[in-house]
Amino acid sequence: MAALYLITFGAALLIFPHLWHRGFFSGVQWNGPATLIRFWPLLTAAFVCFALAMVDELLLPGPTNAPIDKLFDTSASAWLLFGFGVTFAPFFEEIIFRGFLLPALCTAWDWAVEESTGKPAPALDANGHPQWSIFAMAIGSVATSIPFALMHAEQTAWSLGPFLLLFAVSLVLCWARLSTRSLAASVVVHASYNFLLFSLMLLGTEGFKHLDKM
Amino acid sequence: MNKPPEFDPRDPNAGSAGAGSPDKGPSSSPGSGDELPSLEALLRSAFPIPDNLAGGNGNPAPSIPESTTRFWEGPPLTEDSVLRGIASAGDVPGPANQPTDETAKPAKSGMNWLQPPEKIAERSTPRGRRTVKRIKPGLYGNLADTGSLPRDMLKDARSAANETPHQPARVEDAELKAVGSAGEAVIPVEIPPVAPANFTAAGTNKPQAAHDSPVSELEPADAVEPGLSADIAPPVEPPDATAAIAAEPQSAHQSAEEIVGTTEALSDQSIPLPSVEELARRLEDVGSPTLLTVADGSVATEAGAEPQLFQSFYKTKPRIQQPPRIPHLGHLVILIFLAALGLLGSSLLTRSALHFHLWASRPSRMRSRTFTIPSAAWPPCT
Repeated sequence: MAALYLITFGAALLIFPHLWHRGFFSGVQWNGPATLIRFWPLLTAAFVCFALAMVDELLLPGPTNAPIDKLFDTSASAWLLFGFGVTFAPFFEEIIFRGFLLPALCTAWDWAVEESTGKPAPALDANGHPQWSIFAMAIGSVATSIPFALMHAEQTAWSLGPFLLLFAVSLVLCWARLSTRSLAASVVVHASYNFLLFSLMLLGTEGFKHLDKM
Repeated sequence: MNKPPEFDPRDPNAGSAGAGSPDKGPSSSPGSGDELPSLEALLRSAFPIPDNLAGGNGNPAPSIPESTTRFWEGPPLTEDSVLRGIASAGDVPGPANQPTDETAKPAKSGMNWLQPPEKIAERSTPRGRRTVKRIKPGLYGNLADTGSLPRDMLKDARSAANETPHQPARVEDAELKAVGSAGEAVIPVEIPPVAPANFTAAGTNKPQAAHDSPVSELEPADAVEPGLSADIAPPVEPPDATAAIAAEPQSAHQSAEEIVGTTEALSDQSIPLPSVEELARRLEDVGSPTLLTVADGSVATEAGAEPQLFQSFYKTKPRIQQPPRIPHLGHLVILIFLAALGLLGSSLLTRSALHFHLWASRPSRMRSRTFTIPSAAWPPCT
């Protein structure tokens, strides 16, 4: 998985700047300073997602023998997953879903509305990024959250509870991305959410020593 | 016997005319028997009034904006006061400049910074606010600002305006005072009728204007382009109703109903369209691609409902090319393609690693000697 992410990201770094005539992170609207300004609200959003996970575990618990549980067979693999889930996975998943898929769907919706109604396209903002309508952002968030939840559904044995949880978490991540106009914001929320989940597992297994308690 | 005007301490401009000067009024004419020239003659000679105020250039109708017109409410100017004002412009004796009695000053105390209540009362209105100093009736300022014209000059201008027709009805003095005091615009209740234009096309009858105005004095030839006389200009044959309306003497006092009726009569007349051949010839002349022909060679018209082939093409407006909005779905497709390449590359990498025994699955590393021998020194995997 890491090899897949790295190869895709490296190729994207080479190709998209030539297509966009601008940097890759500028094109996906990384906008790191906006994240630093709103760090604490974003951290609060991560805690909200963590609370949703707790509620989901109580109301709609997932299966005990899910494929993701098999990855925690050893302490080393658990630590490896911990590092991967807090750093690599949020970064690349957010680039794919909130960096490409969500803006593309919002732009496509607005473009379809403009073509059908004949209204002119809104001007780009000061940084050259498109400005979407509220309806386009809502449609884009829902349309992005479904494949995001489906991507993780295989790891959770296609159970409904984790699927709904991941769908809700994805909506929060889309809100963070669109409200701050920063992809880094959703990366921070995603990484923080994963960190809280892995930290809870770390505490429950006493440092991944008693993995049978999971 | 003329009495000196009473001094009003509440009026800051009360002393501008000069206390004790004879109140002869600025409207005294040269034939009134005074030795000195009249005020109006003095003003006109020393400070020429602009044409739009005095009705110069042969136009007897001065245009004075009603909404901004204010007049000075102070005592009327006299010859002495005018001369004094010229000699020392702005040096107006007023209540603040009156000589005060030195003995009447209160003794200095610790509250010396506080002004005496009489002085505060002079500077304050009944509401306690500070008075706004009115514009001094300096002659230059008065002539430059029509809002501070002396009352008699304003009245003369207003009377001259009322004698001229086609001018909007003037507001009464009371309304003017309200404007001057409150500073609000007064909208006249009655909207004056609009004088119709007397321009007609060449070849038609010359309209008879009821009054001679600068506009009505223009001959029909004046409306034609310069260099073209009325005879050279191509004649325009109006429809019957149009000709009748054009031949009808247009009164300057034409009411709004008549104007509406004229407009309706003109709108009822259908404008004769050129023939199809004429249209086709014109289109060919300009090289327009909108010329449509049907199978029989005749030019198609809207009545035939045939020529709709390229209607949408000609109706399309030129679209402004905007910069692309990134990332869009095309970029997403490229990313998916790159992800597929990455998946292929990662799978190849894994297979090559397994082929060269860099890693192994658990059963294979349990069986393979390559993995069991070096891992014998380590704690066994669970």
